[in-house]
Amino acid sequence: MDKVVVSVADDSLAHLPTVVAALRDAGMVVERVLDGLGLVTGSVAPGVGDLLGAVPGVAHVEVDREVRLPPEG
Amino acid sequence: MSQPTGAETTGRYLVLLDDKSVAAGAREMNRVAGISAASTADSATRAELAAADGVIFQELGVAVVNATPDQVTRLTRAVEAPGPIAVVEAERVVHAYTAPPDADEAAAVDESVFTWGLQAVGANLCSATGKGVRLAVLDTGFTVAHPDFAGRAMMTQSFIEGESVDDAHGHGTHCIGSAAGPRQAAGGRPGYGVAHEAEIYAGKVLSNRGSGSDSGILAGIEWAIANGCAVVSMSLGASVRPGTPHSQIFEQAATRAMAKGTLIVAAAGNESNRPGKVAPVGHPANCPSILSVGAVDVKRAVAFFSCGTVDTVGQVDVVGPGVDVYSSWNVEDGGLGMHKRIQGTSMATPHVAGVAALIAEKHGARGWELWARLAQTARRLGLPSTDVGAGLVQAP
Repeated sequence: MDKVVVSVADDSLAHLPTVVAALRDAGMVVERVLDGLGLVTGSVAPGVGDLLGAVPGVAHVEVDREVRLPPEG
Repeated sequence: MSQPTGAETTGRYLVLLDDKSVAAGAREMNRVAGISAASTADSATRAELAAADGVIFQELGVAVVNATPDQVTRLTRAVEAPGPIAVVEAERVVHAYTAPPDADEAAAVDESVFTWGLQAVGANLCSATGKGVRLAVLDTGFTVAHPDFAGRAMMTQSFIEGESVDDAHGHGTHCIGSAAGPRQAAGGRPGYGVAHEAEIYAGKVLSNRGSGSDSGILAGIEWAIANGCAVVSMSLGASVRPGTPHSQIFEQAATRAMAKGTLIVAAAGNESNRPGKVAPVGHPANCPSILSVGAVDVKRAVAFFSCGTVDTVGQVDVVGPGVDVYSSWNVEDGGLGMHKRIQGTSMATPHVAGVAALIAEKHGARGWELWARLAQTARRLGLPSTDVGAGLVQAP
């Protein structure tokens, strides 16, 4: 599974639960719904991530990157 | 009346009128000093302006008047009394600038009372404390039992599965110390915290090994917004290659956070090796709506590791103290007690977040206003803006 972050478009924020349901239908395993930010995090089968972009109300889909402490200067 | 010292003056006076009632200010000047000034709003003719005692610049709420010494005295008295006359100043003669000589700032700093970082941002001279302002630090967590933080208001939350908020790494404890640790420390050690009465929100989004994911960081940001934090400090990131676009999602998150009054401050990154190599600002600090922080040393020189502005987006916005920074640590370390000296844009970032909390308290500023005040009051450094942005942030 690939971990992804999906953002919901401004004009669909009012219908966040509908967008989340559509993401699930599209194959996303939803981990967290961040209401305040209008974001949904979770995972998808390899190759499915791009398809989430076609779900109505989705603005962007990005790979959930690993982030770390900057190496000490 | 404030008198410019040593400046050449014209013999006229500037009168600052209460901007809510310029007309009342004009009447008051006439009442107390017998001065009748023509207003630019009345589209006065040149002759009328010449006959008047002065001119009122309506949009500015400023009058320029001719006044006898006696009238000046009466205007000055009106400044001290409540009313629409706010300030009287002698009008200066101004000249084109000639380049001033470089001021060579002394490098040696006495750290017996305050760290050099606190002094560099002027926190030690600032009456604001961060009281009533919520400040989130998203990092490796916090050493909750640290003696320097006994009795402090603190909320904690771990976004790392299987790990409590307790900081087994040390980095998060160090960052929280710079942002909001004590300004007066026990045992003859220096004070090191900028906003020493801010309410600390310690979110653990990086594991004890120092790594995490975008989704955990976003969950931490959401938590900070939900709790009404004015500032989020993030000394973390992923390095990017030149030309890499910023994350649309973090940008959207940042603009939504701003709309809710939460400013996100993030480390520019440590991947440079100056003077030979300047690496671009990392993710997520490269998002336009996240305030990106570079590092300077005690001589106000750019730290060799500090990332710079390489692309058209992803600029360094301001800098903070980030070399040889003393702050709290999770364990006893080499004779410093539970403290350590380390360097990085990670250390500069919480200094900036702390200053943001002080400005938030003093001016009630949030979101974009807070950003503007940070940049506007930053001390200019005479270095490329691509390295230091607006300069070194300053406490209000």
